[in-house]
Amino acid sequence: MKRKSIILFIIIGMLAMMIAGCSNNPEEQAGSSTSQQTGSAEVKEADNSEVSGQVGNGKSIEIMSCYAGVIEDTIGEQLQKIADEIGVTIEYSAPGDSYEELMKVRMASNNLPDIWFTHGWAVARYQEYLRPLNDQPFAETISSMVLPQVTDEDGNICSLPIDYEISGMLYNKTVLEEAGVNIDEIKTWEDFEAACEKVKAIGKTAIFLGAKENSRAGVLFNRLAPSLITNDNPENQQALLNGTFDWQTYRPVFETLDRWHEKGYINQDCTTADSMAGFQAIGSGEAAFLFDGPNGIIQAKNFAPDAQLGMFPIPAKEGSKPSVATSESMSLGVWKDCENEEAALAILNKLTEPEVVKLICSATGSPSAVTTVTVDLGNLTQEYEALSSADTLIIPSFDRVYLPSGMWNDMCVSGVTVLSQPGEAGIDAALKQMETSYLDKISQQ
Amino acid sequence: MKRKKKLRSRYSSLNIFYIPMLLVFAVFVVYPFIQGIRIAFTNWNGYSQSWQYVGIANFKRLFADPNVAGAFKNTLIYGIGSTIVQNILALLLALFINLPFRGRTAVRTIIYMPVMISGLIMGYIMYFLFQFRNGALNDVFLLFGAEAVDWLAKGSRATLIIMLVNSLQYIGTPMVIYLAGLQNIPKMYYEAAAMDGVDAFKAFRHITLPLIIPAMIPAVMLNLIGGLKLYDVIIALTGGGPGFATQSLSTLISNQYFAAQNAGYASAIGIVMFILIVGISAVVFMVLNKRQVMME
Repeated sequence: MKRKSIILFIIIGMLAMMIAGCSNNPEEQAGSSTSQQTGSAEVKEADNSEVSGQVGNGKSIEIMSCYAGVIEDTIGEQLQKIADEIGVTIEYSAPGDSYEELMKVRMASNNLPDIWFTHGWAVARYQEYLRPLNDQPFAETISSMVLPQVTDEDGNICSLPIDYEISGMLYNKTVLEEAGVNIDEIKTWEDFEAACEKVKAIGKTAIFLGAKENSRAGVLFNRLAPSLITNDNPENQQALLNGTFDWQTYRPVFETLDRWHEKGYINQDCTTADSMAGFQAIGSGEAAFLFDGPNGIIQAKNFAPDAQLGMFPIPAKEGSKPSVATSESMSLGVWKDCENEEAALAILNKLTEPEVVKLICSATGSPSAVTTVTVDLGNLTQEYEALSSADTLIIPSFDRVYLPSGMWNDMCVSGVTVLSQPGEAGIDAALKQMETSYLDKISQQ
Repeated sequence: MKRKKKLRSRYSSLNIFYIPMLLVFAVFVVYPFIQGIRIAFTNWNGYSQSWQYVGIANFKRLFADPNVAGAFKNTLIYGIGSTIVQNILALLLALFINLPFRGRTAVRTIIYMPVMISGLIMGYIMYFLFQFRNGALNDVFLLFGAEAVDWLAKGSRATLIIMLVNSLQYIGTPMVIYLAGLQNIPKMYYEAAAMDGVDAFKAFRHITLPLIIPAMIPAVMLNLIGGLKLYDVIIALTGGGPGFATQSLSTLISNQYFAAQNAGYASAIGIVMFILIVGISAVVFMVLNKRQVMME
């Protein structure tokens, strides 16, 4: 009897420890609301007065960042400073590569951070969980270059962009000089291919693609596809949006990539080299062109600080204008069920202060999305001014606007399919993959 | 009978020690498994609060999907291929280490060390060996005047490389199991065989091999299940590419769930993978069990 009591006591103790270990901290308990966002009518009353005082009430704010390295260090520092100023404790985390997976798990359990970085997916993915920000002082100051991309179909501003990405294609000035290519003369894809021939003739790689990370193929298509399919083509735009797109229309995109591969413009190890190899190649003068944004220049200069790199508008098909793509870059949203909303909004407002915006934009190399703040990015400022001239079309990010959410992966993998199966077989397989996924995702909407 | 009853009632109170583990098993294994089955019949994207039941559409799709067929084939290569390579090499190594020689403890430790490294780290180390530019293997090739090879560009070759990397990393585990099995075989059998003039190969075939089956069962089962579930080495070496060429069912599930946002489809693949692993493991276990020779 005594022995049984001891055993029972041990069991109860172990169970109690297990339950204690598995239970949530009451402060972290998620809101249970699952109501759909229906528009600005559901926006809670917010304090529109200038945020300057302490808002701390003993509760902490959880912030999750998708960045790494220097950018993450900069934003982390700024967030901590702001938190100290307004008297709030923040729990800041930057999980790196697993950020998106973690966010999806947290969305599924409706237990989100109070603030998180929306990295271009504020409307397409996170909209359901974000608090509209139309009532905030900074709403009037968001640049028109990026405002449409963070605004949903009901006019709700879903996230606050601090900067925005404006990108064309990267090139190494020294390599093009050596090859006898004048970058200002590249307006069409024919001009581009002629330039590739010249680069190939001097023994350099014309286009570097590091598609071991298949997202590099996606980045390439985000520049190639709009110029061939949707720029100046409202019918294709509408067809993609309403689910009636004929995917044979997309064939020229894959045929172009296949042609470049066949002609030897792309590096031999395009399916096994990673993105770092690409930055190293263009920085060291081994390659002429890289499909990337301004971050590519920063990364390449880590390998070769003296590299002469620039950006030029994405070439067009005959009869159309070259284009540059804009997208939200460092952008933050607030969870609609955030318990410490006042503090979260105070942090966002503080992030739009000139000194903070300048520091962040200097780290990302991107222009400010806050119209009241001008940032001097040195050489990059000249590049951006050259990109956004009257002779270029400003276009949104192709996959985020025209493809259903979740098709980014298919766009990336389809590119590698074309590269690893040269010819019609690869193109057909890639087209089938895109079409199947597109119809599947459209039916989910 | 009375004695058995007495023993049973004496130790029955110890059964309540199973309860915590059963609870953990129920919460972290059974419940997610049941949820996974439920999700497999929906079109859930993995993060939204809304979804619909779609019946067996996901299962119909996976049986027609060439990427699933390719991943299934690769999974069998990683599972069965790795098991064969690992167990043959492990047995040979165990036979070698079972010999008395100086430094055999150090040799055993060195062979076992890769088991302690994470599969992801091993994959990245091997990537530096096999990568096209500045890879160690290609540097050796170039040194001897040969051309560099893009080892991981071709799907079939990359699959083989992944299988070999996995095999070599975990060879230490079956080796240790076989070593224990070898040391359990009574020496008198070998002495008797030697007196009858039996050579080393015949002694291995008729004495060692049958008597090592009890050790072979756990070694094969561990390697088989590990190989069929292989994930981290694939991600580090090729990311499942080029395209879907080296995907296993595990990496395909992750890709479909997180990247492609097809959680329902991924769950359906997961169920099929579970049935595959259970089925293959059960068959192998039954075959090996039948051949087990009981020592007197």
